[in-house]
Amino acid sequence: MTWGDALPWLVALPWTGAVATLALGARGPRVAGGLAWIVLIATTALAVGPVLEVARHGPFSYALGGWPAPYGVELRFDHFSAWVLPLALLFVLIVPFSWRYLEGTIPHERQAPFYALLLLNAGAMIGFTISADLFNLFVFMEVVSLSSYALVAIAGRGLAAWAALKYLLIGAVASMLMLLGVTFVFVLTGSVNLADVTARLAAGVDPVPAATAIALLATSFLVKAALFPLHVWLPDAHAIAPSPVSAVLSGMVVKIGIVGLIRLYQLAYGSAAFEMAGVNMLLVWVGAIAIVMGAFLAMVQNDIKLMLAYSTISNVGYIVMGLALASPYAAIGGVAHVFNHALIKVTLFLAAGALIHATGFRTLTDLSGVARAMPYTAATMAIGAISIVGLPPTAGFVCKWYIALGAFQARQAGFGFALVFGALLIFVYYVRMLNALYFKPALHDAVRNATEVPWSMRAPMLLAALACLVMGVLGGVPLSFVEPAVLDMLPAWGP
Amino acid sequence: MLFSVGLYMIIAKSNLIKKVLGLNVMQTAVFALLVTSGMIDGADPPIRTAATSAPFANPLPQAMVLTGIVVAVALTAVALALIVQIHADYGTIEVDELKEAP
Amino acid sequence: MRSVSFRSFALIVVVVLISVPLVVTVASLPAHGTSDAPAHEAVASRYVEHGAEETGMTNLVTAVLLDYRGFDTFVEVVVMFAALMAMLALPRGDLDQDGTPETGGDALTAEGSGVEVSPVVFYVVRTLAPFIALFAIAMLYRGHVSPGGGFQSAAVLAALFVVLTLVLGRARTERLLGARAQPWLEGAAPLAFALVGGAGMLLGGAFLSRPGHGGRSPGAGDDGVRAGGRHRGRRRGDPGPPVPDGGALTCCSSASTWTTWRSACCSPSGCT
Repeated sequence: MTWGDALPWLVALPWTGAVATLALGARGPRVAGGLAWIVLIATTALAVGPVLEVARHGPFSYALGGWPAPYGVELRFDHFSAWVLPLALLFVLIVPFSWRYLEGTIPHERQAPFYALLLLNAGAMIGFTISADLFNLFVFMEVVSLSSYALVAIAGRGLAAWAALKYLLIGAVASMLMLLGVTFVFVLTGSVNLADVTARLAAGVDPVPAATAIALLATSFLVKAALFPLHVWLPDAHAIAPSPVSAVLSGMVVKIGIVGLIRLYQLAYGSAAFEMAGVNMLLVWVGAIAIVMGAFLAMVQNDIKLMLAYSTISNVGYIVMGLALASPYAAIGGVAHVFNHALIKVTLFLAAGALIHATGFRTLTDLSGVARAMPYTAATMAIGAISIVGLPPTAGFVCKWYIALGAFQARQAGFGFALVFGALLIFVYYVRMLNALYFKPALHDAVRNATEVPWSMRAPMLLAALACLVMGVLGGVPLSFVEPAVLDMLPAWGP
Repeated sequence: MLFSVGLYMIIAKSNLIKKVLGLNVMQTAVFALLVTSGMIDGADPPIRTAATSAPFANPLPQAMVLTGIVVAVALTAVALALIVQIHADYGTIEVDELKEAP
Repeated sequence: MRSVSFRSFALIVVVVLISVPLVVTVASLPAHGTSDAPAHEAVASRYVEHGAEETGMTNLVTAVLLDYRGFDTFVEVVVMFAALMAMLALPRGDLDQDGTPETGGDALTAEGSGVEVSPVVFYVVRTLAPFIALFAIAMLYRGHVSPGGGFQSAAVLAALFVVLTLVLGRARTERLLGARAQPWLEGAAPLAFALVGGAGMLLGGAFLSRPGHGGRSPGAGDDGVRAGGRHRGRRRGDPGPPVPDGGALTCCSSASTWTTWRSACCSPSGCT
């Protein structure tokens, strides 16, 4: 047995768990929630092995069905795939938070499907991260998307269904763009295995269809990642979904688009069949605009969840800009921010969920002064906010620092300033939020007399906040992890 | 072209059902392109029996299209269910009217 | 009015702008229809030349689908399962009280909202049902040697169940399949894949591998994988007489397809 054998189970385990959750969940939501949690803990434990293995010996592959790579489907665990560990771990935090949160939000008989969908979603995202096959990526993407649509719609009637449908229509068009891109790639190369395609593209093909194919794939991934002009589906969907789901969507599902983009970069750089400079320039600009616009739109929101949703758009801008600057520092920072932003966003959304759960209000105005009644939750919120602004002792700082360094390294100092400006805007709106939570007098009795959420919700939230702080100190860990992979991916970088 | 027609329908039609139909048109376009890519003029279907002989059509795109169709079915089913819900709540499935509703 | 026509004009421009590069791309693709196009050179030759021996399946599409790229199909089954979960997760049930489904002629809600089904439709469906089922099963048998495989078979069967549910009402169809077994039926397809995958691994191969391939001795696992080949029902691929468990699994898979559709149809009707 090698660690390769564990790879298919990283996917199959949560999925099998989903079936079991549905079937046994009929005995009550507690059974379903508990089972989902156990399955996710097992998955996380299983993910530790491959991550250590890749840190020690480098990337490794697994040929499914025993068919060698271009013929069968290949799973490949490289440094970027290490993302599956924090991903599964965050799910472990989110599920217990959902136990109590769902009480009163979702009727009992629909809670088993809820957990099953969460598990499907987790498994599919893990699969997407470790798959090395374009068509397989497409199918995984579909499972991720489909379960996300459902998780948005689960919140209730009317608005939720409408938000989910918007999400679905845009997502489905993006999926078809992706499949069209895969089709072009297949017609050009006759293969859908990433490594094989890279080699065949490098051997020389007609540049026009190849460029279209890459453009289609990139567009599709960027829609899924909600990069600024393609973000329209995100705020509604993320704000309306139940808070644990928002955490999943904002923290992780959006990152699937980024992971796809990273795979695409590997393909494009690896084959050297394209002139990437122009594309990168475009993406850097778009990323910069996304940072500022996202931050600006977040600033004018009063609904905390909408605010967090727009802040995601801004942060996706950071990540894309980091990748597209294509200088080592920026790219490393961008990739590491995938992880850090996920952690921070989960923290924030869980805290927001706790506030909403305890008080029933969701706008800053209504929630003002809540810190006195709910000190733990407010502290979590504060830590999350400080992290996302990127102040030094926290997780957000290191990445943004790297991206800014990278901007200077790429001799694009202007974008470094865009980044700092974006951070300032973000700072403004989070200060506004903290000000409301801590220093304004409470408007409602419900806020004044709110009781802190139960421990099953408090503990995951506090753990996530703690992780934000710890990652600030250990910020080098994710950075050093992705460093070799990023340097390997980027084309030779001049001084 | 079919892809464009579908795309136009999705954007332009205000009726949600028509949007979903547009999506289906678009999906069909991609599937058609994908499945023709595996074709060879005068080839037999890729089934190895005594009655068939080389050249065979490429089985890979056919397999991918089958998978794609299932994905499309699943998407359509969920979309329709959502539309039904929207209709039940708002009594309309026209986007223009929905915008005024909430 | 003006704004509306301006909007549709702008839309047409956008769509044309997107379409032109696509059309140019399609035109500049390597010529297809000849056997030396890249699409046929890369991996297809192995499937075509050795597929039959390596997998033991006559229908090469099935060989690709269930063996070479079996993992894709696993994921695909899960897509179906996710759609089903979506149906189950959607809020429903309080529709009948407010009597809302006043869906002008929407056939889907006919059964749930108590709309009368025309007697003609009722009798035609009831009379034809066994024949449709028979036809589906016949297609399943012929599937592996005719183009398209058994895919349509399950589609027909699933459609039959949908029609039955619509016409006869949910209660009677439910009696046909048993309500308690439902979650297991729904999950049967992904479960079976995971089990088959695990079996392949235990028997010394890889996940979803066919024991016997790659120098390992064929054993009990062979049946397992065959059943895996068959349990999809839609694309039964292996030659030789069907075994009973294969038939049962076929039903599971059709049932899971069916249930998906049924849920799709019935979420409006507000049944639980």
